[in-house]
Amino acid sequence: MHRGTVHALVGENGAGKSTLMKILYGMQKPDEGTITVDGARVSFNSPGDAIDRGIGMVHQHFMLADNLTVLENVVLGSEKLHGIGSAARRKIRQISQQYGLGIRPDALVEELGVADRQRVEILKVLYRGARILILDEPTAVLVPQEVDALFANLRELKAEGLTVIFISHKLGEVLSVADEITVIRRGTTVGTADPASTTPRQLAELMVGAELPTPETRESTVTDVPMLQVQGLSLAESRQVTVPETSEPQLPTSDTLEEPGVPVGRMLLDGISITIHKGEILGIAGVEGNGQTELIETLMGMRNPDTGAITLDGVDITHAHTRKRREDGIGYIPEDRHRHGLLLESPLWENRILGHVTEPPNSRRGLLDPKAARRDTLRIVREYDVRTPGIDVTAASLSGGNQQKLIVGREMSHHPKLLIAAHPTRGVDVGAQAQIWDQIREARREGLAVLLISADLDELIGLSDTLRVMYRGRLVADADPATITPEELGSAMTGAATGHLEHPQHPEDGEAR
Amino acid sequence: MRKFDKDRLLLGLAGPVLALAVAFVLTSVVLLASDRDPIEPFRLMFDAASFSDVQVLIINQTGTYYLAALAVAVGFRMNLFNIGVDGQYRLAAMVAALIGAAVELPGPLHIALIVIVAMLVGAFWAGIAGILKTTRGVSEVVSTIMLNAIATSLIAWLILPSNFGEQPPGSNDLTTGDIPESGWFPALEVTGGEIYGFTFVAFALGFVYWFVLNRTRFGFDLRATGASSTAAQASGVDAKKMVLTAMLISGAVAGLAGMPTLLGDTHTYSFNFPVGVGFTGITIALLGRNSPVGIFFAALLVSFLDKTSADLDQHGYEKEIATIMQGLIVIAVVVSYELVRQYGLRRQQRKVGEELAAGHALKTAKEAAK
Amino acid sequence: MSTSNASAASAAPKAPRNGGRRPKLTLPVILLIIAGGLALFSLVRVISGANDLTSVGQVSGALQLAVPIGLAGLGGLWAERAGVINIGLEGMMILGTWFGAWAGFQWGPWVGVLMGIAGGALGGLLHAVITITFNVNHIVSGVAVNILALGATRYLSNFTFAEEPGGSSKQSPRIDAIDRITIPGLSDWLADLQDKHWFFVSDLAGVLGGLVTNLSLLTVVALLLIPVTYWALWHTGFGLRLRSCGENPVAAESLGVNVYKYKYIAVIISGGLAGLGGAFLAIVSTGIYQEGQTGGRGYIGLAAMIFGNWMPGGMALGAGLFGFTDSLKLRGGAENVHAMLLLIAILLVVAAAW
Repeated sequence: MHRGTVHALVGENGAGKSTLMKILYGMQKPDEGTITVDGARVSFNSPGDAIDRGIGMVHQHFMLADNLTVLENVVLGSEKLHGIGSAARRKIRQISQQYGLGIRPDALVEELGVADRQRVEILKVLYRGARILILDEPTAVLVPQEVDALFANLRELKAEGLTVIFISHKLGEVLSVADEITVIRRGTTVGTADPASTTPRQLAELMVGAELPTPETRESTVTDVPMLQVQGLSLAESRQVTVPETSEPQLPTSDTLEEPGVPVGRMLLDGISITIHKGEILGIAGVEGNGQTELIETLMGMRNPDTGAITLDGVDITHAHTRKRREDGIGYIPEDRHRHGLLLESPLWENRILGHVTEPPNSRRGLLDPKAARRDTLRIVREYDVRTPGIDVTAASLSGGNQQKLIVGREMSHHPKLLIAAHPTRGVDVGAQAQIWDQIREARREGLAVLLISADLDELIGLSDTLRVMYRGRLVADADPATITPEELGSAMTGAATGHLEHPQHPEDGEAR
Repeated sequence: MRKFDKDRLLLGLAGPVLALAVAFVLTSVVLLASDRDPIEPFRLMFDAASFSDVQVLIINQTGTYYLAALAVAVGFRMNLFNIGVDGQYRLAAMVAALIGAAVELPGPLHIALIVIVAMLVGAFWAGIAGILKTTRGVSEVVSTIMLNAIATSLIAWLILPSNFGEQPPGSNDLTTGDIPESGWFPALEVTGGEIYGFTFVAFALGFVYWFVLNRTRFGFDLRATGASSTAAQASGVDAKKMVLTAMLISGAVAGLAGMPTLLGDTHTYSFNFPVGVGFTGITIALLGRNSPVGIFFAALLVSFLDKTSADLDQHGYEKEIATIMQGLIVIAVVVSYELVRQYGLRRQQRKVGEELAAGHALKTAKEAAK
Repeated sequence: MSTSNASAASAAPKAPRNGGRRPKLTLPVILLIIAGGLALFSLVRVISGANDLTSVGQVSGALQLAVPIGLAGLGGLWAERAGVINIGLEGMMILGTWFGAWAGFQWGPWVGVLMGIAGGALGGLLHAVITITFNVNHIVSGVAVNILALGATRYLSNFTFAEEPGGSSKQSPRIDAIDRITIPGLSDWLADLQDKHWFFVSDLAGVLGGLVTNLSLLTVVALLLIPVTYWALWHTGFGLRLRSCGENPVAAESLGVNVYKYKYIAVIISGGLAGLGGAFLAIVSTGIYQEGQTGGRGYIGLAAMIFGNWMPGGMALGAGLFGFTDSLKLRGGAENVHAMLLLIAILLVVAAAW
């Protein structure tokens, strides 16, 4: 990497980008290899060491205290540099002006929008004298206008001779801002690219790799009986986003943001319409944070949509309670099983009751039936191959794969009409993965409708009957899993391609947007 | 499977046993440091407990503490801290005493009225905190503490002779007037005195508590919310409704805590009515780990300390040593429970791994097919 | 214990929701609020005829009662700002009364004050060990500290006060008083003015009079601690680090702040302040230690702090209000109580409208 450049590091989720950056910032130690800064070989034991070497990191999840002012957040831990009073304030104003960040030192962080917070993070790093900035997925939480503003800031930094390392998997953005691009996959560098002569598609191919999933040869079980119908579902984030004019030169007397900006509450879900038929698996592809979590939570009744309607098997459930929806036949494999799927410190048989406390065999006439629940837990353990010495051990003591098999077993045991499966095989070993896939397929044959959300493109393509791509809260593209390649899907996920991918004769075009 | 049950039981016992041992040793150290015999007071206390009148006192006290601790435990089971049990208990006892003294009804009806009023008042007072939490997000700890203070003022005001109270001739105390005999709960005559009839109601309530928590859907939802509010919500529990319901139940039970004394002994509410019962209830619920049986033994232990220490003064020892011991027990208990819990979790994870490696897993369908 | 971990996490994000949508508490705003409050009192006094409501004696008494509550509240503020809930304030205060009196009657009131602080700090240390090192739920630990403090002081009284002339196992011998100051001319003039019972003017005079009449030096120290706390927490690097531990410990850690250390310091200071409040009760308010003297003031202090939105100034206002209602109750008189009820009714209407 060279001084005064923006260097982008791209790769899929889990390709090793974040790990690399943690090593660079001293949060993790490498097993082998060396790091050289300005010609000197260095090794970092803590973030402090990295800071001393002029490396600063802007974390994906901001490290800011909401109830402190910008000034306080910036000087914290570096009080010795310029104190915590007017000298520090002057310094912050000066940095803010120098790089066009437009930051008010005395604003409470709580009052700031996401983009402002990010600029505070950048300022925090600059305040400590960093010459190399690492930005971890900085655009993930921003709306397009904010992204443009951020890029303007980055160009400013570059012009001042700073080096920026930009981690992302949004290819379009990378191409527009980076001077050099390094692509990594499965922990190794697979190539470099020159943004001037590379297309998003080429980059996507590099990023996803050449290996294709073995497409499942399968009979279609899709019927024409709609099970889940979602019409124009929208959900706005309850926050205000400020779009400052940071690319404009600042007024000499004012380094503050006098205009609070245009309130454009980010749309978490924007007019989602889908139909899943009996026996159909609908897969939704998308980079995480593009609205999948919100879609699931809205379908489960954990969030209330602003507009739109949800119909399950002909019954309107838009405003039904979560429990009612579960009783009506929605099975749910949650994205975060520790937070939403299990009682970690409770025994397995109580976990078997969770979410289905009103249904047999767990309860009869309002009373729990522990005997029957235990018996059924044993059955699930047996049929779904949950590796455990007993059903009285806590859920926490099982491995992730076995926890997941228990959840799948539990949800399948109630013969759902619709299964919402979010990352059903995440953190699951290979054997269990195939098993879970088999179970989902089998249920589909019996008429189950499945909404599948996954970051694993092979899984999506292999299982789904229909594919949709979600980007910034909208379904932007659809595809036929029989012919689509992960590369094509990948570029659609980054917003580089929209509409129908590849085969225009698909019957449900109208519903994708 | 059996083995895990046994392990759990052992670990479950390890916490309190360890804590009690440490508390005893520390108490002895305190005694030694203050130049007293480190063992003698314990012996004296056990001696005192061999008298039947002291035993009756202990049982009666246990009933009251048991109810107060159950009230606290209902909240604890879903991570709600009802610090206001004391205020709910006093206000409920006071209003119930007022109503009880004001009416004359046939026996069972009279008692039922008093009990129901007590439950409603307790639930109402706790419900205020519940509503503040669900609608305004006010921490129940703070609101219940404030409600305690307000209850104190409110009682002081209500009991003024110019309002609803009475001043018995020749006494400084203020009372709510005597409940007619139809509102007295029949007691059990034993050697050494009378066991309040309501004490048995209290213990019966322990069974109800167990049943509701472990055998009903509602109880499962409540426990699930306490174990993981996010998972409970995803499973279909309405969190806000749960908070309010739990507070109401907790308050209603707290309202009952005054009943053994009111219906069995004083038959009136006065400034001599025991205070601080709610706070002792917190200690007992912690010590008993929110289980109905554990709470019973914890209540018995604390009552034992309370009642048998009263005579220590006459033997040249300071009865306050019992309070110190109570404090030491609580600290030892909370620390040891936390340590044992963390240890137990780690240990079970390791053991499960070992058992699986050794091939002790339950047979699965796949293996059966082989 | 299954209740312990999760709830500690859920209790931690406390609610210092300063700023944001609410108007900022700048000096003019505060002065306006005080003036408005005073006018309200004045109105209530005129309507109800309870002229004692804002008399010099009333205000002076209220101040005396407000100081321990305020000190406890200040203690709560230090702990909460570092992210530790301190329900143990009551116990630390009890330790303060006992140690303050014990040292006070032997070696003079100022030594008593220091020992009171030390006693409270000891309670704080215990709370810190249980919550920070052993990671036990803050509220559970606080309750335990309260019980232990109560038992320990009662027990110790038997060996100390009981053996002294003028003392018993429930109370200490008399402690020498701390000097009191009265500003001669001003105080009398204000008292005269207050006696005229004019709307607002007399009330203002009463309040100011109460602030300059018969003022204990320890009261002055306590009052000074409010700006000192504000300065230490909001205008020093130390205070910034301490607050960052309460606001976002992960971020603080990532910037090299030793979160453990600052939490310990905060909780020990918190205990020391509560202890000072206890010492004030024993040495200044009554001149002796009495069992049960604190009467829940530790809890009320916590409430005053929350009333004051986790800020020293607001906390002081809250403590003043609680002290004032206490003083009304103490000075008795049905008139005062009726006036108080009227005041509460008005406040409720205002709160409902807001």
